[in-house]
Amino acid sequence: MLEVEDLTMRYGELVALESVTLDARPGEIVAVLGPSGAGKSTLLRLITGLTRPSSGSISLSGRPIQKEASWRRNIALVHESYVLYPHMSVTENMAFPLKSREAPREYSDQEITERISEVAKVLEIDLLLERQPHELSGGQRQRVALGRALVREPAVLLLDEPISHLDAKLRNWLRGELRRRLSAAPWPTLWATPDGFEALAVADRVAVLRAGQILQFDEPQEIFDRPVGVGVAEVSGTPPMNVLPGELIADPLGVKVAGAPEPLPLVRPTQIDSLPAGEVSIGVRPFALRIVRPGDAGSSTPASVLACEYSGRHTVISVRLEHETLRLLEAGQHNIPVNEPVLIAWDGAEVSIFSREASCAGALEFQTTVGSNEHRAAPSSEQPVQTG
Amino acid sequence: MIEDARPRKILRTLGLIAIVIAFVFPVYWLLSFSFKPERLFFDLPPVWTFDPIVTEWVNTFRTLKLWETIINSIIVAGGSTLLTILVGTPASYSLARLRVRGKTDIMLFIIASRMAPAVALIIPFFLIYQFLDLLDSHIGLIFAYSTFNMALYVWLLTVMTRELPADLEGVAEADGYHPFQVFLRIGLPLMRPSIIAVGVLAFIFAWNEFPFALLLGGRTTETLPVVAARSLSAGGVEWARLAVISTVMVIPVAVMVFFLHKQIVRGLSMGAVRG
Repeated sequence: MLEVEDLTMRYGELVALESVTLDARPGEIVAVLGPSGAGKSTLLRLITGLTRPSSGSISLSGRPIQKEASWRRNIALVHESYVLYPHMSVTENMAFPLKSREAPREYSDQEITERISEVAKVLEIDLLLERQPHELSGGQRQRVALGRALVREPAVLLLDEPISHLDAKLRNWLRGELRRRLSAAPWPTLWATPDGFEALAVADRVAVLRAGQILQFDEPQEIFDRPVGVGVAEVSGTPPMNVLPGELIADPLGVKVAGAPEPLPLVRPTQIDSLPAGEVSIGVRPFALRIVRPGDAGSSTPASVLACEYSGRHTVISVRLEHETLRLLEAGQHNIPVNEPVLIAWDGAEVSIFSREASCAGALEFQTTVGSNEHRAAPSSEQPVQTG
Repeated sequence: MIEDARPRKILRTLGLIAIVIAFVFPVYWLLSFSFKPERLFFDLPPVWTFDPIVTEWVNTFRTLKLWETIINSIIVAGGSTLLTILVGTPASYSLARLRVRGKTDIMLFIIASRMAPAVALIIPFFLIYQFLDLLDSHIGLIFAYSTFNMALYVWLLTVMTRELPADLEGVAEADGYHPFQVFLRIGLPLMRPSIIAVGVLAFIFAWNEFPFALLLGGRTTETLPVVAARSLSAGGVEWARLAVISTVMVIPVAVMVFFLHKQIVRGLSMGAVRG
């Protein structure tokens, strides 16, 4: 069990991590999801012991380790830039941690060979074992770095973007394979990635990290369905949730979106007193939006097409809505010419409302009304729509 | 492009031949002087063919006890290079790869100690050595050479060692190795080409060093440059003897560079250690 509590890292004025608290149980994969610069690598370095935290504690099975030397912690780290030992062959690289005096137990030469060949097969590097690092491609080096960690029996496994440089086929296969292996392992795994899809796919729990703070730490489905703020909404899902500025109108309940001719009426499932007032951020998932023909019933917004990206079963269509870009997912193949005017239907879409000032808290969910004309007249006193 | 290839190749070869001649000819000229009868030295046009004689070689070795001088040179240059490598390598590694307080100041101090001309240091050295009774001793010269060689060695090696892949130490520590073991098992093997390259450079500097050897050394520690310089006197220049000693001085450096040139090039470029 890995427990990180209130971990803060400051470099002078710069706060790289602020009060990060998370935990991971044996066999659990916790994804640390965040854009580059969010503090993912800093967090992993602190846990490894390569950097001392400014404050906070790290413990393994209840034993505080933040004062322990990094080489004693038995923490396996896969560095985002691989960092193979340039003067050692692939085999020697992978055997290196097993030959350490600090390894949890002694490994016989035969066992070392067996462990390496088993892991090498899984990673498809079994034919490269005698090569030197400079003879390998980027993807191969990444797999060797991964292999060097997987042969071990660490107290914690830390993966810093472990499959980001692999080709798509191998990445897809390894994601599942690693999930299978690591879920069965008697140690916890932290998996840092900037890829929301990868995080949701591989993890038991996801910690969304942004600007050094954990915005939400929850199961993948919660992260996806109930993001606590814009920061979380923007990183989960492929493509991620559309977030655009809007203004909330209390009566009749609706939200005014930039570019929409009239406010979108909302059906509210939760209590009204928790509503943020005025300017809000509106989040809507790409699959919740549709392109409709003029004259179709319901609430629609004019937009112009920016791009269509076909991906087999779906097409991701990017549209321009006044100052905002929205992405929506349509089944099948669509090839709408660029700049073609279209109408976007919001009806029936689940909409998340985030309060603007505290973008990491105060999310509410609503549903836009379906086919109702009841609330469609906008009050004339409406302020012009705010953007930005 | 294909038609171009032949003439271009010929031109390139001719160019290379010219460069080789420009560099090798002086060495040949020096060597030929040591085997030439003295009367032919300054003939114009130069005499290219002659019966080589070894009289001067035999004489120089016998009358000047050149073997002793060679051994002195080897002890002093080799000893100071060894000392420099032993002390300078861990220093460079630490300055390049570890968190050392005041790193920049130390580096500046190191380079500054190299800025003063040797002459400016000789008098203090002489007085200190007189006090410590280190004049005319091998160990004294070894220490003196190590001071100026250390600066060069540490400065160059530190800059080169910085070029090793970042985070090697972090990853090796996570793999369960104490920083000292990381130095031995990761740092040292990767620094080897640079150590050899800079070590050869330090050896050459020590081997050719003159003012310290002249003033701090003495009868029992005479090195080759000192003896060579004695061929130039008010009474004239003993060309043949100078040629013999100079040839002797060139040989070890040439041999060393010949056998280590691959390592030297690798060390100076650090190209082969990217991981």
